[in-house]
Amino acid sequence: MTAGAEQIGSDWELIERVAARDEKALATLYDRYSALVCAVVTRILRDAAAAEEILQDVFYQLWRSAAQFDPSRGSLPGWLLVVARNRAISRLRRINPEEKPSDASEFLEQTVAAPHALETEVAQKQLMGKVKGALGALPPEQRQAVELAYFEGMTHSEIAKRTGDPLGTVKTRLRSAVETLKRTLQT
Amino acid sequence: MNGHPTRQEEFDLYALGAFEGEEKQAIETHVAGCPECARALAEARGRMALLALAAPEHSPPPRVKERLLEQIREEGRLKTASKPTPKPSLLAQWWGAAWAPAAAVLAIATIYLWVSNNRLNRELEDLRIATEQQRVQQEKSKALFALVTAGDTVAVTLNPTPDMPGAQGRVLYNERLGTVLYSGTLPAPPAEKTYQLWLVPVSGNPISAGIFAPEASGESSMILTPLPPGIAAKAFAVTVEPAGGKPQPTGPKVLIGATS
Repeated sequence: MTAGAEQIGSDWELIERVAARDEKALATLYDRYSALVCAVVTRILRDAAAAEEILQDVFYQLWRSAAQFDPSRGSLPGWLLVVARNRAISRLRRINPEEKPSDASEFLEQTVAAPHALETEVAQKQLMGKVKGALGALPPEQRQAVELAYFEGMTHSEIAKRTGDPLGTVKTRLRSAVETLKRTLQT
Repeated sequence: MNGHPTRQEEFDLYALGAFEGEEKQAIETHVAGCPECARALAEARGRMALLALAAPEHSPPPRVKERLLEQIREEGRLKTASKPTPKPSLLAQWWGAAWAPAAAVLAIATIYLWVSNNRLNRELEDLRIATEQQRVQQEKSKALFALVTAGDTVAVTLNPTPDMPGAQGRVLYNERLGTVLYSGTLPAPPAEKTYQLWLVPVSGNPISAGIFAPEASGESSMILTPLPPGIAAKAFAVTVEPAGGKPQPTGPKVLIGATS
């Protein structure tokens, strides 16, 4: 991310320019969010080459579908992170990436409301600290359950199988964890 | 799930991907038809997406951005290169489709008319030739009729010379009309030779009055030749000349007869 990129315009101004085939606008959005996307995809896959491939693919999809973005339906970094994570999890779990998601999940994918602004590097750094702090403040078994769910793409039963804990216990842990995170991250 | 989720955390757990099977399907089905819960789920997705920020920082190498920009430029080049030729408008397509059968019919009709026209031209030419032949024949008939019926037409008997014993001929000549008619019987001329009729005027050189060549000995010949009117004739003669005739007699006389 460059300091100049922060002064060029809001996400939605840039998306409008990308929709008008402005290559520089895409480059600016890439500079703004590629590090966030790259970090999560690399954490999920633990494979730099595969992570780079998904990173490029996500921004290429932004280039191709910018005209379909509706500012009223959510945040761009939220959408980028959700799509990137889904693709990385699919790769990790060897799910056919060409498999078309159901209409419902596609609809949900594109509707990502972000409670925090992430357009500046400063805002991103501040929020990173807040999220890491919130996750680190969870009891270890809750943090583990959240990480297995988010970074490994595991369901309740898969987490239970991995940890050896009863399914009900895992469900309770995860529910408690998201309640805590919700309170922490909304303040 | 028939109603709203009983707890808001349901959306966060769904966004996290913890649900599976019927639980997952129930939320998806409900949210698809419930704008309020769809909004709640969007917010939950945004919250859970923030977990990405817990990942260790990892800046991508510059080559990824370079590849991305090259990819979109390549796409642009491909689109430009493969830009289809402009399709004709719907009206033009309809017009073309409507005229295609008509054009085929027109082409067939053109060929037919061209062939027909050629045939008609040939027929017309034949007719013109026939008409011309008829006209010439008619002119000859008229000239012959006028010659025969004119009171000032003179008849000249042509007598054979010693070189052509047994031959005979006759000439009708009208000085006023300028018409001469020959009829007679002569043997076939030698190869490359023809017979030529001469008007021998009162004064001056003989004047050619036509050529003839009977194919078989004893065959009757008749020629009707127009000449300039007003030439006083002293005699008529037939000579043997090279094929095609000569301006002046060069060969032997075979028939000769004086007008008086």
